[in-house]
Amino acid sequence: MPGSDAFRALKWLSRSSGGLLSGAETTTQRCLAKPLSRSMATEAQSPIDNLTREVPKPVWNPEPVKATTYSFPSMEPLRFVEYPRNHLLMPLRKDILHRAVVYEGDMTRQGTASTKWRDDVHGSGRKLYAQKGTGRARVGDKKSPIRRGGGVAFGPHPRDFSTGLPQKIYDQAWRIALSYRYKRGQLIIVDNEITLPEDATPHLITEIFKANRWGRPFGRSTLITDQPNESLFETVRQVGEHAKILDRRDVDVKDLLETGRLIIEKQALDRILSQHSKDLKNKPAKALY
Amino acid sequence: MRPSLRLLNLEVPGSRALYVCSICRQEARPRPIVARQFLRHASSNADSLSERVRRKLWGTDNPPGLKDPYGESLLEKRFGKPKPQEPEEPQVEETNELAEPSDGLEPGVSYEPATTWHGLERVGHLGRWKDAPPSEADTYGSFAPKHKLYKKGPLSLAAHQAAVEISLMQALNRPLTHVCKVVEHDKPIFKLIWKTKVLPTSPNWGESLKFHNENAKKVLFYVFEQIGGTQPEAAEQEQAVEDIEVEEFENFEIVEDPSPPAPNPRFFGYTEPRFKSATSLPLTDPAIKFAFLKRFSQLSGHYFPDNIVSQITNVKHAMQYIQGQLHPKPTKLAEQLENDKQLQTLSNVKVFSKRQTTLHRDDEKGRRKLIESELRARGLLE
Repeated sequence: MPGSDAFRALKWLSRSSGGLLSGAETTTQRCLAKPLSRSMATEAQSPIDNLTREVPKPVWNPEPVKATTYSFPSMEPLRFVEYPRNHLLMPLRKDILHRAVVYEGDMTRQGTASTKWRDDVHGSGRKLYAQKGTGRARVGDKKSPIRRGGGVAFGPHPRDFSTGLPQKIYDQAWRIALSYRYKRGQLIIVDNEITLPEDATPHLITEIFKANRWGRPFGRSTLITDQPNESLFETVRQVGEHAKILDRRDVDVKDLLETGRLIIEKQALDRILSQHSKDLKNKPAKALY
Repeated sequence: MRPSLRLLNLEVPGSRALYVCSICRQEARPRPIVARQFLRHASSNADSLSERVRRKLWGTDNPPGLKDPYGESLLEKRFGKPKPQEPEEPQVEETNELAEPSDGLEPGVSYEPATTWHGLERVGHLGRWKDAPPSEADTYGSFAPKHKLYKKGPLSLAAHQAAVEISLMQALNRPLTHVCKVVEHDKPIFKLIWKTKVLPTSPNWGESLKFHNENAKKVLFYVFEQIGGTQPEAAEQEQAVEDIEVEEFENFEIVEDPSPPAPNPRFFGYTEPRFKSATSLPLTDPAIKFAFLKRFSQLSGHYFPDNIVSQITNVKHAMQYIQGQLHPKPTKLAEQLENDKQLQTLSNVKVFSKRQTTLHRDDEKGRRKLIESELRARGLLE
């Protein structure tokens, strides 16, 4: 508060012996009092005391986010779990999500397209015919980019397309994507592991998806497990029209936003959130003497 | 080395004097009978080599497949003369006798193994998972019932039942969610629940019950004491409960529906709750809220997504959510305005679903035909 700082400085000046204000104290007070009384018209009594008093900080204790956990595959609600608001109730920022998706897309680009420049093409550098006397246009060698079989001018070469994104923004993007799902009621948290009986076939998956309205008519669903389970993954992949299955390490922001809903193991969700909340945990460095 | 030379060397080792050119050698060879037998005109022969090979491969005298796999093209079949029908082979009957009756067949129907693919839906291995029947492990036991409740009456019945059950559990100081262990009560118990009133006077649900009479209270307390708890002398107690229930059931002056039982046996033919006070029960306590929503989901078949759970503050909201989900708001503004009764009553306001142009105005005023005819007369309109 600039006003209070000014007053503190004023008090300090007036208190100090032999200070600037010691001589003509009355005159300075008279001079300062006028504009003060104008600006603080409502506070007639001792404006300096009022302003120097510490303003009580607002106590802001937002309720944590409540989410229901279910047991898979019966989908019986098991309990309410709580998450901090900056994990599952982040305001939607499409720009951040867009940046994250572009960043991931760039990072996953293969970037192996390769062509040969005229120097890289195999062949002789002999001049095809004499510079003059043939009546034809002058030529160089066979590998010229204007000739068939010649090199490619300015063609693609293997390169890394990956772009950068600050880790804090990327972490935010993860939480925003999950929050978006949560706010739309499309985040289904499974308390136990997503497993199927040993000899289960894709018929069971279709049955589960039909009963819970998770399938293609309802926008498909992404199952996210904490650990890869090959038999489960193989079974689910056979009904790819309805479901998509990923393990936690394979998930990225785009996957979170892709299908109609996420069915995620609680452990996987917790780990994703803890891994992508570095911007929350980070505290500015302090000098330790 | 050239082929001819190689041939020469092989045929006549050691002697170079007796040279025979390769053409003459070809001529001198015996005729390739083997090759000729595979020709089309020769394949109809029953004793041909191909036929013999087929028989040997299949191990029977009547191998499956077409006799002449290359004969009779589609064009011939369509435009050619109709062939006289071949007499049926007696082999089929033999195979019928040999065929063992499989389990899936009815006793009267005999199984005929197909020898050709005519008339078969599919030939070959059933490669896709859809072709195989579901295994025993593929039975899915869902928490929510298959058939969801949609109408207001059954929904409020479910809400009432859930509210009474959870109030009972709270009064008994039992874990609230244990009510979900019993999906459906017996008819007498359900009737007692139906007759119980829930008064939304106290935030504590356990104190909000008003029973039909003391006996009903006793029975319900006894029954819900058992749910989810340890059950000593289970069989005897069950018997005792049943006795009480029957007595109670007989003593009550229950108004029986004269109509036959409704097709939905979920609420034993009841369509409306007796008391509708349960709808105003508060859902502020998280434990009660969770238990109620869980039980309500189990009875109604509708899950409550997390964003909705935070918005629900009483039982009525939960019911409204389900009903609102089924009757979503019209998304178009025009539809909303058209359905607005206040706007319809205003004399100076008209609501159209499409944009109104001069054409519409002309049409309405009745001058469109005139304009059109005039334009036609001037040759400006075709």
